[in-house]
Amino acid sequence: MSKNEFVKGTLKTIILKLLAQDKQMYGYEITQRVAQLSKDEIRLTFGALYPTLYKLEADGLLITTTEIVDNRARKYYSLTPAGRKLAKVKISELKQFTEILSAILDDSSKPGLTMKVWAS
Amino acid sequence: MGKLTDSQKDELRKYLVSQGLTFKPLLDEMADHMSCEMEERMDEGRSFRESFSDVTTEISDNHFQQIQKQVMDTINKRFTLARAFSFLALGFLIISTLFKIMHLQYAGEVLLLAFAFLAVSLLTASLTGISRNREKKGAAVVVAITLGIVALLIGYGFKIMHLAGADNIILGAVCVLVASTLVNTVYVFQFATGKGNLLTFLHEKYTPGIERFFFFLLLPLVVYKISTILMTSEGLPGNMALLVIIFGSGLQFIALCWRTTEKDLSKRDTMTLAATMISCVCLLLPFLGPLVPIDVRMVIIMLFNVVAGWLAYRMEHEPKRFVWLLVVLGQVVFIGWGLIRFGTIPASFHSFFFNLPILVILTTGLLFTRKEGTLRAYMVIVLSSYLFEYMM
Repeated sequence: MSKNEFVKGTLKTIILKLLAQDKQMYGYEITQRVAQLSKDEIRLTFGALYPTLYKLEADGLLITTTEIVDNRARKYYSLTPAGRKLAKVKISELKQFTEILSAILDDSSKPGLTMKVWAS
Repeated sequence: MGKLTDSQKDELRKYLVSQGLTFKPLLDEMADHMSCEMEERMDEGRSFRESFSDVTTEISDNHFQQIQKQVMDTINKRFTLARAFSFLALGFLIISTLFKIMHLQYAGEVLLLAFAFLAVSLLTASLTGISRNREKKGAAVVVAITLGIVALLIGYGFKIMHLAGADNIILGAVCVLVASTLVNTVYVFQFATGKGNLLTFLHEKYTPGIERFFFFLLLPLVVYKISTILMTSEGLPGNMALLVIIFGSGLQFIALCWRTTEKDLSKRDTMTLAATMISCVCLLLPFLGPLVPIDVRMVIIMLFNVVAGWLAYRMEHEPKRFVWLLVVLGQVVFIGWGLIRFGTIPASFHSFFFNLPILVILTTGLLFTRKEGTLRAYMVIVLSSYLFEYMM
């Protein structure tokens, strides 16, 4: 499984988390921040980022404003109150899940344990 | 930081359009994103050509079309109450026109139902938009324009039912609409950053739906008109559904001009401001009906067609070269129509301006302008006005 497939399931939370930290961001800025925080391990594609941003906006979690920067329109995204609430929940859920995942992946108990459990 | 020149930005936009991106908000966003990427590469010493190649070769075929499809699916999936009401309004408008053509009873009553659903749809969309976007400015203008349209629908409803007070309601509605559109025009020209203007923000969101609504309403009327001409049977004289299209597309046209002005600084000049203000006034005043003398109304309609035609062409970034011929045709037809009505040229010239070939050209004009929003809105106004005046 590639990194992109892991990102797919968590992209919504990643965007909500970034926007919860920074008041407003535009698409390119989000990809740059993700690349920077992941030390270039994660590069968001257009195809992953924009449909997710539109979906979050359609769900009432993001609002947008357009500003003219360098004579071109730039669309900024920020969280709505509902988006802020969901961001907290999603971040906490994802943290919990990664802890569970770590526990599973770090499990160094011997295979015999399983038999022991069955036997008891 | 290195910046792309205007011609380089144009080249990038053309590339995106060639990749099948037609939804303007997404096109703008992609253009900005790719511009940022290219500027970053140019800062690292790459040339424009190399940066362009770097950024575009990373993109697979149909990638943008797939993104656009996903985005459009997301937008279309939102089955809002406003959308449901607008479908009902559209259905009742078509049924009412059918009833009128077939000389059936209750055409007027069905039309009133269509007006009611149109008003409810508009109120629902506006109120939802205001409550979901409290951070944005301009809620008062949104409320004023919405109430103005609703009052106009009520006024025309009173007129259909021959109730007293119709003219007063229509007068009040038109005054509110003229004042609020002029205020927003000045606001957009003075503070045009696109940041936080609720009216243009909501308009951008609802544009695909608005365009579909008028297209689906206009298409059967065009088909019906062409068939009556071919069968030399009695056509449909001045129809209320056509008035709805002229009015709605007119407001759509003005809102598109506002949005272009917000996003493109080069469009912000005195001539464009004056043309937008004239278009606002000249679009709305004829809806006062007999309250404005017929001669004055005709001058206003002629003026609107000429000024709005110029404005539509001006607002487009790089329209197809032959499109100006369509604009000029629209302007000439309505100048000719006015001059016939004034008796300046003989009435026998009517068939010179109103005939099947011109109707077909104006209809195909909608296809040729499908990628140019403002020009297309102008062509919808011209075509529906043309149909309205054909039998008059």
